Amino acid sequence: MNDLAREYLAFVFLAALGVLQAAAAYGGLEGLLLLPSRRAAGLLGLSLAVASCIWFFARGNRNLPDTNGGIAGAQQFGYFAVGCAAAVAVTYLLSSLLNASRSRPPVHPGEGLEALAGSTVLQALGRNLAWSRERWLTWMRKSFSG
Amino acid sequence: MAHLDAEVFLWLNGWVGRFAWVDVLMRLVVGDYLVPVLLSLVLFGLWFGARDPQQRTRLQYAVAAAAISLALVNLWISLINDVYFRPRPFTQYEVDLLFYAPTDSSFPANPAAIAFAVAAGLWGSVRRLGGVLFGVAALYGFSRVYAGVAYPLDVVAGGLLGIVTAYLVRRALALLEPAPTYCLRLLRFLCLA
Repeated sequence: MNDLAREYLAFVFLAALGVLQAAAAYGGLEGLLLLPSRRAAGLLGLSLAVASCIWFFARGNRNLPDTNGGIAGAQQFGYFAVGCAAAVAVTYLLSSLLNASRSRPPVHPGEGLEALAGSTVLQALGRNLAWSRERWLTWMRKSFSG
Repeated sequence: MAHLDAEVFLWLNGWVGRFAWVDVLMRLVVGDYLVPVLLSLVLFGLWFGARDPQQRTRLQYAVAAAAISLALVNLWISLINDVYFRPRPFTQYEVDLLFYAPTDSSFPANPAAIAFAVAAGLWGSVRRLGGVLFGVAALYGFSRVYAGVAYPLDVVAGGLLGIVTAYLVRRALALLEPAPTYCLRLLRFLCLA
């Protein structure tokens, strides 16, 4: 991995982290926020996205062919996917730790991101797993009893 | 047609050097990173950013359509390039080049295709944003011609390819129901959608 690829990965990671915070703040997904206030988290997200963009493009000439220090199209896609996945993983983990104490009780299992308005990812995932386990056990009991 | 294409190309590329700020802007826009990353981040943000469950489902279908279109359009272009190669304009004419010299086929323009595919993928569900992204895609396509790396016809063909692919993908997603809904449900279970 060359310098440009490393910087590109860092740029995508930070920008995706910022966009995720801004989107979560806009959508009211408080379980995903890294700051206590929605407005502050939204501003942090937008600032992070813009700052990472300025940082990446101000560091030098980015118009390089992949034969001379640039990044090939397929690799670019791969780095983008890795950067975004890392941003999602870090946000899910950090927000679950930071918001564990201030989450409200769960509403409905299996409702996806909507659940994060009131609970953290780890709480919602745990609830979904418990719910599916319960359903599976009920189905087994029905299928194999008498 | 090829003659007219070259004439328009030379006329547009002839503007390079007249306004320094336009050249700086085009150098930024024409690059491999700014517009593709911007479009991808818009898709990423839309996936998570909705205010109610109905809007979330609509946006996530649109994002899925745009992302699948983006992947497919790359595949089409790779297949087209296997059977047809059009030399870049700077290999045939005296050109003011604002970008590095790509070695792959000029036709159809891959950057225009991906940008228009994303814009058209979103257009069906998010009209205003889709419209803005069509503008971004048009600017991206224009910058390729201005910078001397593609003919206007390459950009038009790439754009049409992107739009048609996005339209077909949206139709296919509707026909494939309930499979997309099941995929979304699985992602919801994992708190990813």
